[in-house]
Amino acid sequence: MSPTEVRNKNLIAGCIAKDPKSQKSLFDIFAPTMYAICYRYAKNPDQAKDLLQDGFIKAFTKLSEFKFEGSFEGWLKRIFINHSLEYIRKEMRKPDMVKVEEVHNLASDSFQFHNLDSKKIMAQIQKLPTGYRTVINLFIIEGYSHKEIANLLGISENTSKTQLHKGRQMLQKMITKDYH
Amino acid sequence: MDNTQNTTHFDAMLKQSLENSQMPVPTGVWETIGSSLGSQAIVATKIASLKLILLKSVAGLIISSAIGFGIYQLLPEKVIVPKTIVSKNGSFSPKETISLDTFFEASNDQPKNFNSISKKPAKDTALRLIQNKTAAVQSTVLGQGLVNLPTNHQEIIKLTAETLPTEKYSEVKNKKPATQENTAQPYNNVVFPEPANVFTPDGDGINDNFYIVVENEKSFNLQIFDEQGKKVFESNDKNKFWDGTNSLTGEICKPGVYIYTYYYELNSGFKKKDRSRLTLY
Repeated sequence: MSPTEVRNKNLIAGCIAKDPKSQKSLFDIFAPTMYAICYRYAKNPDQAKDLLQDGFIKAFTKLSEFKFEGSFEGWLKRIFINHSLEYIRKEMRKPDMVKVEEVHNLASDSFQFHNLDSKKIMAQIQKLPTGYRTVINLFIIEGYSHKEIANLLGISENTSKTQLHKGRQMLQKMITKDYH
Repeated sequence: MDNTQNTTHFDAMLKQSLENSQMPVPTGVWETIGSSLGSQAIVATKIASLKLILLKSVAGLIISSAIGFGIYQLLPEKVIVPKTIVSKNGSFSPKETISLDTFFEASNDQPKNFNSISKKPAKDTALRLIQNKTAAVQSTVLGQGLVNLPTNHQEIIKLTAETLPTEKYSEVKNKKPATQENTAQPYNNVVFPEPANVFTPDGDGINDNFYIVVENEKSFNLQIFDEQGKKVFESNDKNKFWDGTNSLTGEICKPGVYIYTYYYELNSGFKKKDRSRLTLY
């Protein structure tokens, strides 16, 4: 067991015993990473904050279900992603998702940047329509397949592909614009 | 750079820059989470303590009912209610028996045994019956504290019918053959005859006062209410009779139905509490 795992194990035990100090430490360690996840799934910083809060409350109540198989951070991330998706599924019912045609034939300019400022990209991702943003997050960053995404969001695989394609184009455009 | 390469390159960069990125957490988030967790903990403890209280009360209930049942099983005598003492045509059923204790008064300190108490006159109407010389009472000791009353004497019937109309008497559960030893035993669970349910304060000497028949009592309380539930009489003294006037206003009460409740505790520890109605003519 690595020192990190030992530390996590102790913290988890403390949190299950409802020790406030352990709860605070766990939050301090993982909140920045989880906030970044929430941030790129949310459509604005306020929603990201809400997702972070509710996600942590959910995580604390589910902590006893963690079986110490695999990384704790990965488990925690999945909780936050799933929690964000729950939020988004409600949002996807709104017509926001098809507000797409405007970016339709955006030329995919050659993309020449080798370093991306993650903070800037975060802000730009939030500006994407919810459907694009979610599919980009799930496909590009989390590495889900289109089939999985289709299941998770209740859409068809083709929709997932289209959303990804259009979302990617839009994001590229935004970044390019930003850099010029 | 063709399109596919471009895309792959973009995706890789995006993933690299975002996958493990961290962001400074806005202030106030932990405070919200902490207070939410705290309140959850408080709710959890409250539920736990409520469960504990419930469990304790259920256990208490079971224990007390078990004790109650045990006492009930151990009690040697039971009070039963004979169907009728006085039949409609005014004659006694020879089979009916009433407690001897009903008719005798024991002094407070003396042991209540048959010989001593039988000599001592009592005030209550029932005792007067037995002491009435013309009544020729031929009381027969049947068993533990039981007297068989004569069947054919008009005066007894009349008086008793007036005084002892509807009635609970103690009856010994297991009737034993009459022996001196049995009759000499003290009686602890005495139930006195119910008071008359008809009340005629007209000065003819019959049922002019309403009172509860009780002897040897430690505490006593009688309350009488009219039909509207207003109290017309209350006494802690058994010798204070109700004469049909409102003891608060001094008015003469109207004929009608009155409710009375009474309570007494005997020196033996026996308690009785009852309520019934009486008719004022």
